[in-house]
Amino acid sequence: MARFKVYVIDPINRKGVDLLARRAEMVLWDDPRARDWPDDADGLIIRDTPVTGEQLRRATRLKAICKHGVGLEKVDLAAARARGIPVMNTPGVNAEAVAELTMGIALAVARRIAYCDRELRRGGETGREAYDGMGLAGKTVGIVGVGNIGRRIARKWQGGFDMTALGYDPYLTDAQWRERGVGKVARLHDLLPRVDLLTIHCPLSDETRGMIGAPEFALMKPTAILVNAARGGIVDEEALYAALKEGRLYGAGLDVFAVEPPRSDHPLFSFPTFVATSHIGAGNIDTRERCAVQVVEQVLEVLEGRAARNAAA
Amino acid sequence: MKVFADVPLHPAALEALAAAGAEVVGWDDPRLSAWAEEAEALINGPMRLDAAAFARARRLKVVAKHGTGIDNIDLKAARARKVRVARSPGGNAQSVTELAVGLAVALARRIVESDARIRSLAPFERGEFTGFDLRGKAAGIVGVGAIGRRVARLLAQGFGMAVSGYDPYLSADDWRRRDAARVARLDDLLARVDLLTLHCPLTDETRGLIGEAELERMKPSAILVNTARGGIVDEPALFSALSDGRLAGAALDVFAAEPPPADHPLFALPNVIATRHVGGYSEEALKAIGLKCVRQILDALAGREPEDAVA
Repeated sequence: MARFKVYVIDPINRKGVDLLARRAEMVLWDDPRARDWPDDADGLIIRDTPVTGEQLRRATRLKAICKHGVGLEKVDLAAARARGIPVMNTPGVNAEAVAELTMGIALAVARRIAYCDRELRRGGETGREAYDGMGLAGKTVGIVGVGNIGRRIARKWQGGFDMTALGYDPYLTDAQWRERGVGKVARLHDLLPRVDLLTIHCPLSDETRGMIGAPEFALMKPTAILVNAARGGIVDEEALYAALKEGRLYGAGLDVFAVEPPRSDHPLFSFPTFVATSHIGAGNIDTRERCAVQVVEQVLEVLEGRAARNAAA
Repeated sequence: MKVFADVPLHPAALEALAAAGAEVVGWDDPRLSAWAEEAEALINGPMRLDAAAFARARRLKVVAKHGTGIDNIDLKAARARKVRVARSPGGNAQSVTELAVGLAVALARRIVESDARIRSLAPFERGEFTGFDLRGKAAGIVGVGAIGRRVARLLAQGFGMAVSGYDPYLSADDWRRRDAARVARLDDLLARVDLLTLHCPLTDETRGLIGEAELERMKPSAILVNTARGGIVDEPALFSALSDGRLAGAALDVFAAEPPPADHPLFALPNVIATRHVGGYSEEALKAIGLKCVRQILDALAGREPEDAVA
């Protein structure tokens, strides 16, 4: 039986390539033939390169498309559906990376790590009392959005720091709450006054845009920390600035901003208890390896006659 | 009763001293320099207490170390002068633990580097700050005492790391109560870990413990965290390992000389995180330790045995 031909038209990690090489004929992104994938591809692996309806109509052998990552906005899903080609993605692969990043950011804020490093390098403040921080053990973490990432976060803070985990997520059933081991709080405004650390793990939608704004900061403890590694826009940055300025919040860490990358003169950068990273939640070698292996596995499964996993169309 | 403190005290400790009728000269008071002549009790931070200091301090009855490490105190001289010395072992253990873990994640995920780059005008690419997960990786702990055991537990249960430890002073029974597998030789630990974190005291045995030969044995992808004492890690050897790509990153809360000068060679490297010996500087630890120091002082001055006395 002839081997399947799989095109990988965007770069993926070597571990995925090695797996594919053992199981199929492949054409990689740096091969000039890569652009001819509609001619004879059985499977297609993509990251950012668009897939058009015109290409899909020509691709008569194509049986599976898998995106390395989550967003499928560059694929003509209607055209794929019309041809009966499953379009898959790889959700959940980055959960560990995002979870760990948010913990690192929370600790960096609590203990002023980035500020201290900055001051030492520039020959600034050397008095240790300028870096008084706070501990997190035994305190309460509030999780907004208790999905793949949020549930993982809960287990980590509970297991490592003996924290009490409470959550707000209007889309979970009671059985899901029990299984996730997180205390359900039905209203966001009831969660906010109870937590020492608020960590955001929901998607950006009309419902969540600006969800953490001035009224919400007013309900939080002045000793609390906010971390957002989900999406910019969920936290109102001007309201966050006002809360920090007036001492109504201990500190905050943002991996995501309303406008990315944030300007280097962003007003939030004036606070010692503010940490910024550049949307690196999933930016991780382990994530890339896992994702590359999974994207190859999902395509091969379909080519070998099994059901498509994580199919969007 | 006159109490001097060369370290900032938590407000709760100041209140307790005031309630006991003590006059307090604090770390930022210019009169602190007269401590040797006037102090009956000293709450001691980084100030060196050698034989000469004890010889001058004629009224001194008790030193309460605001922390665990007493490498700055000449205990023999204290005993000779009948000065009681007590410390707070474990009082800052959770606080140091959280800093060590925070530094480890910050290194693994390049958090401080990313923060610094955003603040600068230098442009950067989205994929530039590629890090690695701690989950499933190997952590090595040197010194599995009050702090090391907490770090072991946190890394195992919070992050799913496989934790090993090196500590020549633990019994087989002690090891059974640790979340770390015993490794008998430091060299064997070094070669296998992705994260090495130090939690031993500074002694003649540990001075320069992590030097050129030890760094050579580590994986080039590994990271090193030192929140214990400066002097345990050989800084020039660390500099060359980090600049040659033989080690992925290092975070130091402690330095051979403190505070470290702004032109410290390690500060030229992006894969370094430096903090200012603030392992014990959390609200919770400062309060607990400050109150304990006050109790130790009041006990010693009243002729009672202070808790955790070492002299």
